[in-house]
Amino acid sequence: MTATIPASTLKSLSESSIATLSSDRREPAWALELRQAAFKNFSALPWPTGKEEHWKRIPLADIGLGELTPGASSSLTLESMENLGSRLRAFTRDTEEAGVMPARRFVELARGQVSSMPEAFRERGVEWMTLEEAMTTQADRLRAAWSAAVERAKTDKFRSLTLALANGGSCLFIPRGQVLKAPLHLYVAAGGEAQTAQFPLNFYFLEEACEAQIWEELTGREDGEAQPLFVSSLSIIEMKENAKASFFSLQNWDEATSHFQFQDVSQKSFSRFNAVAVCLGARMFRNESIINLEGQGAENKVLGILFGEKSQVFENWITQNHVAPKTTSDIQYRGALKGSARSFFSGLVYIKKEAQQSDAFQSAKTLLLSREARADAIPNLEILADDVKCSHGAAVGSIDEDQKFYLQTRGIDPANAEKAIIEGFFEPVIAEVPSESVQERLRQFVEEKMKRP
Amino acid sequence: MSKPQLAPKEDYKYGFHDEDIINVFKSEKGLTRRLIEAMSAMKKEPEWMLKIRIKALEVYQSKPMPTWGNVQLLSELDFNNIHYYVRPNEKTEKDWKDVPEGVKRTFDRLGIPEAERKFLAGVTAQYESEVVYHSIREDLTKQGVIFLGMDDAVKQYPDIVKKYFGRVIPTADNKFAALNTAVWSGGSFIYVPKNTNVEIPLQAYFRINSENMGQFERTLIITDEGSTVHYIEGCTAPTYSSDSLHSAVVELVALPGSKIRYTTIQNWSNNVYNLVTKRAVCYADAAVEWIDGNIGSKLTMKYPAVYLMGKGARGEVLSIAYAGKGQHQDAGAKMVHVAPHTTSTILSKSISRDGGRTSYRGLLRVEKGAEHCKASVRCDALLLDEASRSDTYPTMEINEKNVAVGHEATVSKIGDEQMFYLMSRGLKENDAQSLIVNGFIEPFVRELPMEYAVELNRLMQLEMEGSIG
Amino acid sequence: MSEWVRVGGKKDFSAEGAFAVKVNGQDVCLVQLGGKFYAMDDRCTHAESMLSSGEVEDGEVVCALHGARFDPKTGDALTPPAVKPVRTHEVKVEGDNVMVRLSDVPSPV
Repeated sequence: MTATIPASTLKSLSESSIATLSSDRREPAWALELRQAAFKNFSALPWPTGKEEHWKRIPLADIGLGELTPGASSSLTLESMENLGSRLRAFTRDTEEAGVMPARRFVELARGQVSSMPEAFRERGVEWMTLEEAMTTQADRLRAAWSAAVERAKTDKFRSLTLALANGGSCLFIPRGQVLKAPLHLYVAAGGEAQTAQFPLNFYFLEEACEAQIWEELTGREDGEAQPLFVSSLSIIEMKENAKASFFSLQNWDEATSHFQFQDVSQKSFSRFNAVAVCLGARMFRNESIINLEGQGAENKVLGILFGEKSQVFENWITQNHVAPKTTSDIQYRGALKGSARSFFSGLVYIKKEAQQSDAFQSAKTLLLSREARADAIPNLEILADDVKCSHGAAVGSIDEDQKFYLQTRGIDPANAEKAIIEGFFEPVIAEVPSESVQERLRQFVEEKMKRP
Repeated sequence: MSKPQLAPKEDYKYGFHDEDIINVFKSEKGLTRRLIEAMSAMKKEPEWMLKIRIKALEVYQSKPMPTWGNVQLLSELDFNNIHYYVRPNEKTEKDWKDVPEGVKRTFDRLGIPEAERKFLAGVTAQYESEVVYHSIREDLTKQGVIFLGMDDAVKQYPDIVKKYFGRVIPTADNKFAALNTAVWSGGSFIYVPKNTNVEIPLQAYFRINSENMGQFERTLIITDEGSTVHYIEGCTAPTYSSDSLHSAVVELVALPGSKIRYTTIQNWSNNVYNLVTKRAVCYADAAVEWIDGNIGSKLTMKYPAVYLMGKGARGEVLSIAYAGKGQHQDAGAKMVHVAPHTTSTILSKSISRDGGRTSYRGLLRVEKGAEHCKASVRCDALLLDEASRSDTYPTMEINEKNVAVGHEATVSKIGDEQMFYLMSRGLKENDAQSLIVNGFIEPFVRELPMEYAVELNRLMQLEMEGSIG
Repeated sequence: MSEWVRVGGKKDFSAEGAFAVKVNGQDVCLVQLGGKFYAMDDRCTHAESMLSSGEVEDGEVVCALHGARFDPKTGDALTPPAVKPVRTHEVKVEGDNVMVRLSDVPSPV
């Protein structure tokens, strides 16, 4: 069954369009209520003009946000895993070679999803389902998390919009104490008609002392024909006490896609959240993560690589909220820009009075490879506790000519010297990626980007 | 007249006020066009300056209050409860013995005439809205150095003033720049001719005496090609339980190959809002250094800027901020690299104690074309107790490829090991802490003339007293 | 080479000052100064405010938002907070018609 909101642009959405969306899918009444509450918040907030600090670097006119149409959404199950194609296999090759079968979920935006879950996951009680399925089988949990997200997003127009129009998302549940050796792969391909917008909403419930690796890849259309698409997604990650999770994401959209990616992470005591985000594709990509270190001893490490070319715009807004004592956060972003690409990094480390003995680090470094590229950075600190360790650094520069010269004296030609320096610049982050074959693939991506004119 | 209410603050030794001052004129509270016309007439200003003021008043009234920074504290200031113009004298005196007795006594207590005799090349002393005393060493005058109160400069050197006034910081730059332009009074004007080095510092001292006073001095310094000058300003006020406002505009023009060092020791009492705009334009191979110490005031919002307009220009901001109980030092720096081969350095040190809050707010911008520029920003914050707060809001905007730009910041408390080491050497806890704080601000103190360094160390000592237990 | 486009009659710009006009869909600030006309992008190079909403004072265009000044003849930024020139366009008067031709040079900002 496919649900389409009758020809209505984002600007002209109304409560009745939300009602139609929900009733077409035969959703429970609470889901419609939450959608309407989020829609109310969305409607009450002004559209960005492009002059605001938060919006001034986004090519709003190009995207034409208000004129987009919410795209079709579908709970259809795609016929078979064959749709996954060879690309997905490349992504998961080395776990298969190691004899561990990953769980897989393939999403084609506007068309549907298909998943495969090996027995090893099933017998441990792992559940991974579409958002629609979760509305019935995980109703209480989903409702509580969705409702809390609506409340948190009250002053955020596009988080609210995503919560109101949610479609095509999934919901993962990993029970208490389950340590999963094999990763879970989420593979999302662009889809749907030109000038449409998609709103995936994903939930990750990671129970006490569980361990999981979640790998996500965002990619262009299966037929390879890029068409303007806008995606606004929200992932809600709830980590209970002692839970450990590694999130690896590879954003490799085609150049016609624009994406606002929101992430809300809550970490209970002694949980550990590791994230590596690689950002290569898209016309415009903005990530906004809010990480709440709510329990004593919670730790995280948030790493990122970005490589921009042409007129790509990449933004990262990352907030680390240290609420509880003895919490540790670490942000490290590295970017390289060529063509007239732009990047923006805004970090905020907030340490509450109660969060004594916390430790926070944040670093953002950018290499400018062309004269037309530009990089802005604002690594903010707001520290209300005195017994803390807190430092940050940011740097922007070009390739160090001395280093290049040194390599040349060693017989390496200028182009290769430059390549070696850029690889060396990314390497500390690439080395953190939890799979050697994926590391190898990333190095290839970086090399391809470098080679392109 | 009701007796002003003094709020006791024992460690602020400048909190006294003089009751027996008879002002020549004291405006009613509030700011009106009529007041501006009246003050302009009292000053016997040229018509063009009155026009600038009237236009600025309109701009001021049309601009909203800032929506960033400490909006809460800012909203507590009642702009209608301020005396915008208080004239303590008829004219600027050249000899201390001609300065009205009560006013002179104040400056004696502040040690200004003594400092002047010992180590200054020129002094401007401002009391309320007007410069009451002004002097410059004769040899400097002979070399063509102009050092005057700003009001006198408008009358004596209208051509130079017209050429630069409001062209570094336009009226509409921000709400408080517009306010100052409308109602400015006092401040210094300095012009140093080509290839002239003023080796000994020139100083201005600003004193507020009345309750609910608004002081709006305006300073303009121009160094012509190849010249140098060092200007120092200090300020204090009585401690009252209600608020006063200090909103200055300082414009610096460093022409090619010249150098300006501008040192501020801001020690307003803790009932003064200090909302100041300071900006320099710096041409080829010129240098501007802002040495900025913020110890007093209730809320300071001040971000000295250098626009590096010519090849090889250099900018530097070296600052310390101390925030104790009820204080918020929202200070920082701005560097705008416009020309190639320009360099800038920002070093900011802050100390928060007793619930005080310090914020570093900065902008580092590299324009396209500013190739081979180098910029570094370093912010270190020390938090002395759990009631205090420190923020760092640095913005970097880089539009050119061949640059080296870096920012680093740390926030920490005094290390237990450091304290333990010093106390094991027989130092009392209090002294150990003071010693560490002194070490922390040492890079700043090092840049001050000796007399000021001693004074600053003593001030910090006073602020630190009783900080334990 | 762009086309000459009529932006109005002389009497439409009879007072000295800055005027907002459209040329091929683009915002242009037309300046009348001592009976002569000048044209520039209608966007301050500091904070992108419209220059036509400002005043012309002592032969300079003053941005209403933060007071940056520009030379209408050359487009040069004369005071902070602007530091980059604004792009200028050709203007001619034919009979009563004021005509503007957009510059082919890409905007510096």
